[in-house]
Amino acid sequence: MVSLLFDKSKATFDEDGILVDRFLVGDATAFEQLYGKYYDKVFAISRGILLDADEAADAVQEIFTLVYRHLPRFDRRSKFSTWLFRISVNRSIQQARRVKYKSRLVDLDAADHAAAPIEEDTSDPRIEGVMAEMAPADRALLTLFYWEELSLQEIADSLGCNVNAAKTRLYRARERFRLLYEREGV
Amino acid sequence: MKRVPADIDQLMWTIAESADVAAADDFERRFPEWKSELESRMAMVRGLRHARPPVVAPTPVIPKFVPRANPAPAPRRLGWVAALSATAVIAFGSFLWVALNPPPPPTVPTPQGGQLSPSGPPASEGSDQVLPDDPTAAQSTPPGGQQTVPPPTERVVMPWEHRHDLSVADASLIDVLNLISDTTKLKIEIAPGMPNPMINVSYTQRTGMEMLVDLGREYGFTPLEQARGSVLIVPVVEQSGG
Repeated sequence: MVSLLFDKSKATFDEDGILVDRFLVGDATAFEQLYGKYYDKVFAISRGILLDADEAADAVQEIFTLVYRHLPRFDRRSKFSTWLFRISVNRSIQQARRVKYKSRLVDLDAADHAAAPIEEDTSDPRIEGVMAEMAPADRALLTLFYWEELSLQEIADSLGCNVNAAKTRLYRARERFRLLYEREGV
Repeated sequence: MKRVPADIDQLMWTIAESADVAAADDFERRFPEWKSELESRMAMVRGLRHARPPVVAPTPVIPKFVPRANPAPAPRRLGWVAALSATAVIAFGSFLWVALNPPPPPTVPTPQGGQLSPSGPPASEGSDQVLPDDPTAAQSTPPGGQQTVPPPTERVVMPWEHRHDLSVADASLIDVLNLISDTTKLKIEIAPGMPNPMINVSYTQRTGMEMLVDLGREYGFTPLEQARGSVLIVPVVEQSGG
């Protein structure tokens, strides 16, 4: 029983590892499988950080291009998914900073007339407003914890820090969110 | 607003994130003063979780992955790191260049020739500091090659205060005085009535003023310091008795 559980827990890692191995020996379909498997997750992380579906879709392509190019350098010290999420977080934060810079150049009228992506309305309109005010790095933490429901260990791995640092950073991000949220509520 | 104690703060976040209604009720019974704070946090966490955007890509199907031709642009941070690194390398290189190429030690010109053989102070002797012509070269270089920077409070020694060697044979007193002036940079004025005998002198490591005082005792004159670096030679006038 124990060995069965052990084997099952290893299965996910092995599946990704096998796909990585196949890609590295020239099997292009293996990468397509990885792409299909993780597209939604990477898109969700990127969407949470960028707060824009189109930007997120663009970021996903950038992220998988990076993975495609750098997969031979993947050292397997962590799970493939952890490595992928770290790239996703870093790349999305980077893009969010660029988008923020670009958005300053867009005047308000143009922004009003821009075609907004059609998405479901979320429950509390203040949340997205507050998220938009936060730094991309803080948004990344909140996205990973509250939206993607990653564990602290997984967040730490995705950010490249230890669990305590991840916990501290999450706590601070949450406090900053709360301050803005309460101010919006006034 | 009252500051939330750290343990209560932690507990409230734990309950808010667990969304455990029973735990929240229990907390509110035990800490009624923090009831509204807990409710606020629970509402915030609930709102945050429910605000998760739908994972719906702009296109209904996952787009086919085609690696992009253009490499991702380097982050701007890398540019800053490169610029700072370059600055550090340049600064270190400049430091090395200055350390390996110290400015030449300042020298005091000394006249040479004939029977006159004045010479400057040996570099290894004396603690006097030379006042350089170039203010940027305000350091002397001891034989070891290491530079010594004088403490800011140390008195600056003027050129005429340096010690010199001077040997003269069969020269007139006036010529010797002129030679002392040239060698030591003392400005010497000679009052009328000065005797001018032929003399021999030999001084080692003496200042100009010391040489003049010694000569004055022997040949009957008094060196009067008029200003810094300027001396008036006054012959001794024999007082008539009565």
